[in-house]
Amino acid sequence: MFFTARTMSSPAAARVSRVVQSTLAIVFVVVALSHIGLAVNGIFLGSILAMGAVGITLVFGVMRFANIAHGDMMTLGAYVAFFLLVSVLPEHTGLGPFTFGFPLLIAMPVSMAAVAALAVGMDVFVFRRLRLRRANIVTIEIASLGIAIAVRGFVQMVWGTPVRYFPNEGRAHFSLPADISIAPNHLFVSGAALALAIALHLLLTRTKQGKAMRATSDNPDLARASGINTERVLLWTWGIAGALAGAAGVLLVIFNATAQLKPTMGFQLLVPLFAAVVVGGIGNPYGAFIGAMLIGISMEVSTAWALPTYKPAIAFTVMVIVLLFRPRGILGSKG
Amino acid sequence: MPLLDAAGIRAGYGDTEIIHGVDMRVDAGEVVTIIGPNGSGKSTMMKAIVGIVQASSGEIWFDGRRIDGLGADRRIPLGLCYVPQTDNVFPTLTITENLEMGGFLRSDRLDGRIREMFELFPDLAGKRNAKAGSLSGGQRQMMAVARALMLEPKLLLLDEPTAGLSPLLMETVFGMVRDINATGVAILMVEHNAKKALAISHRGYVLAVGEVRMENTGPELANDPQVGRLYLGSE
Repeated sequence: MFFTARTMSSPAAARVSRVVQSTLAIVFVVVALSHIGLAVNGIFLGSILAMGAVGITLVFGVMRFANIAHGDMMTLGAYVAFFLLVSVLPEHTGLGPFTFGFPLLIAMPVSMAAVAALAVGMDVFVFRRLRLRRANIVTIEIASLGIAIAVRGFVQMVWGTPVRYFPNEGRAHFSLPADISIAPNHLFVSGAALALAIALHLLLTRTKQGKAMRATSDNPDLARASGINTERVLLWTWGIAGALAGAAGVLLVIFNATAQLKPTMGFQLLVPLFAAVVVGGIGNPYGAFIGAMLIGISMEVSTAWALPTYKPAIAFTVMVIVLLFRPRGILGSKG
Repeated sequence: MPLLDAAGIRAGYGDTEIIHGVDMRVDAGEVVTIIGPNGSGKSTMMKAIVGIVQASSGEIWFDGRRIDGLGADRRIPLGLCYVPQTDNVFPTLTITENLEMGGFLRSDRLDGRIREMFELFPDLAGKRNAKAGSLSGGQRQMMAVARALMLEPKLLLLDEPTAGLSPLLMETVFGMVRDINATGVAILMVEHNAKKALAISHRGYVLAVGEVRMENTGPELANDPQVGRLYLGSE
């Protein structure tokens, strides 16, 4: 550490660091391009990670804690959609080139609303009470772990532990040159994620409420001193993070070739999600998006050499490498 | 009737009481400066007035209303706006967005008020789409004051507006304080640069260990040998 601290302060060392960073970036791009099929898959996985990571980072921005329940909020979103698809909505599969039918287009927004409501409820009934008692960060983290376990328990109680499936039918992949084969569902996943990312960007930069969210994340005391009701901003943030988590859960199901659901599906993504958040710069939604893409691509491309079970380890390895050169993440503020 | 009338204010952080029964008032149109050594409770008094720190006892009246029971977000709309000493801008928001946040509670004439701020602070106008975090020290101070003026407050609270600025920029800031006051806004400020601040103030308070030690007109405090010896450094 002393070594790093001393060398970083000299301009020559900063130059060396920049050269190494550029080299690493070039190596990453070359390796990704040489396994373009896997890299494309990585972009699709990255889209789902982005929906989760952006929510975690938004909540961190205004609350200063990492929400461990986020993975299980995604799971709940998937199961709410499952319930609607098999019990409420008409049976239909094979919409256009996709394996799912038009009911999914109804189930997904409902899932988003349901998880958003859960997230707001979590704040009102748990986190706000802890805030008012000035609970320390460990207490708040453990509370979010408790919610994670409770949500998963609820899913297991209602839908059981066996694997479930969205109604689906097999569809042909699109074949592209360079041996790239794309499942139509994956295009839907990326399209939906991109649309939500653009909607979020417009919300954060064009609306008064979105700007108040960024202001509260920047400086909560000054936000209050400007007359912004920061408690209301927190509820908005939870709602948006919850909606994105719900969408990510549904997309995670149709991303899977057999459209399967498991009670642990969201929790298992927590490691790459946190890696994406940290790589991008904690609290920065644009950073979380970039971090999710970097982590998603790295995880998929790594399967060219490593067993898929090592994917979470790859995610953390990439995170460590990025942090060695950029301790506050790719888009992290200088503080 | 004074614009701001605080009586017997006790406040602090957690179990630590910093100010022990402070009386303070600001009349409409006045510039009032609080001076005192480090740790005397100057900033805490400001925060108690704005509502960022809740007073544990005492009464605060503003513009004929009792406000000590209200949260900060309910006091600001009444016309008292506050510029903290540090962290007084939203660094990742643009200049324009910072002003919009300053005017968050406005439902009318937001764009018109932003234009007025750019006329008042031409330095900021040229950088309206730059992030506030990229501003220099002096510009950042202008930005912070402009943000607080967005709601057209009756009373502006400034916590050490010249901290960390060059002597030239200090003059600019004190000039700005006079200009703002000339438009009818009362100002309550905490200043380390006591001599210069008192020179442009109608009245001043000297705080020490959480109590008011002296209260007088600005020029008289500035020339009081006792104040000079105790708090201004011997000159």
